[in-house]
Amino acid sequence: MKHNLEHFEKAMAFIDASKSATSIDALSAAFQEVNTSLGFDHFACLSSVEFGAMPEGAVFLSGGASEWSDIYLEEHFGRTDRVLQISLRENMPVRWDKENPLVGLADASGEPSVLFGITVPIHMIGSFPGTVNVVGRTNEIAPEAEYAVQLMSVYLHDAALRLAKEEDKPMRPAIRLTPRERECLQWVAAGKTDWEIAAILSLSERTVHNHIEGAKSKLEATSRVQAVVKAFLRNLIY
Amino acid sequence: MIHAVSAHNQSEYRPYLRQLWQQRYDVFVEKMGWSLDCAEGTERDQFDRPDTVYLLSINDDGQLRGAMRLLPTTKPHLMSDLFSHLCAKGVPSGETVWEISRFYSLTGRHMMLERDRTVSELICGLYEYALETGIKQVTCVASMVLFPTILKAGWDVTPLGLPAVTDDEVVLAFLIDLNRRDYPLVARNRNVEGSVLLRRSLREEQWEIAS
Repeated sequence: MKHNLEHFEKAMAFIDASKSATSIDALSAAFQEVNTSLGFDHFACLSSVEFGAMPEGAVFLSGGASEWSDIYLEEHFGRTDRVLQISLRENMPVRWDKENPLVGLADASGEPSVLFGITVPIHMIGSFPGTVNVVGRTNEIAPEAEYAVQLMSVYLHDAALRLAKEEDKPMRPAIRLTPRERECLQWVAAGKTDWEIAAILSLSERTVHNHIEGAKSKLEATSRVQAVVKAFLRNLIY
Repeated sequence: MIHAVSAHNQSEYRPYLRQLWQQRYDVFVEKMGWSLDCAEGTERDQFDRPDTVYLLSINDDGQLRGAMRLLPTTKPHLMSDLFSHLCAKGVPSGETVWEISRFYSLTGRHMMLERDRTVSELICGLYEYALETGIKQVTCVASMVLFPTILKAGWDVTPLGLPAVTDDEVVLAFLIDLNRRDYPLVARNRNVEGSVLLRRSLREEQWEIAS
């Protein structure tokens, strides 16, 4: 019971902060602080909408290292698209634990990244379905921590909607790729190398490389895979 | 229109109260599958007492379309008798704290449907009733599935503990602060203009509280 109270107080610390938060950044920071103390590394709160055009009433915010959004975006992009499925079909949180981890695409060393955590679906009449996701490296998730996350998630999503309305600006700035950047990235998505793309587009290999690097930097992507995923989610490539 | 039914005017509402027990059976036992200890066809329990207050949503044709039950927290109520384990720091109680239960609407496909007029009237009627009679806060237990929509109404909601599993459902105990400041936002969110509470049903009761 003592354990229970401790988790409840952590959740309440965030809930109180969420009620008085005056900016998305302050809200994210408050959530991430409690999230870390519950044993998770990162979080993302998002509406299940096309990323290319965030419509009014949609939210996207995250906290923690970028590694998480890499994995999340890859997962979201992945064929299984489990997080999206959860946001549409489930009512209750889903745990990513030892039996069912959240697995990202293989990194440079060929090892897929494995993370554990919780996806909380948020259903509100009159709003886009959404999820709040928390992830970390530890696969031991106390049931109280899960309940605390579930409770905090509802307040996070609610406050994010309120602040998005108040701030009245798109949650993510629009990114424009040049036609060449888009073309090159499209071929990267098709699995082509720089040499192959250069041959297809009758460009030098170096020019192709520069276009892709340009797209990566605009998309704030650290890898080609991430650039493709991000571009896809924003409807920049198909 | 919302009719406030309490000890002083219960006799005028007998047919409606009979209908209330039947509708509650249909909604909570038949439709939601709650395991309530009640007779076939009518759902009525130990908390339906003479001092219980009901807010009834009755349409222009005189049909009961939805309702909620209000219990004083100074006497036995659901939170004190059945759900005290959901409150991490004790069950809130006091003269100005009441408890809501058996909230339903027959008109919406979904309990908390945003455009459901019955739900809007019940929410705003509760707010008006509270402001009129000096209720400052209400407590409630609800499913976590409904909680995001409850929060979205625009009022100040504070959890009383962590969610927990009860009867195969994850539920949460929470407290709503019915302050004057939030009322205009709640009414706007629900598209309600002006009063929805039948003043006639209030008068004598205010007298009781004042005396």
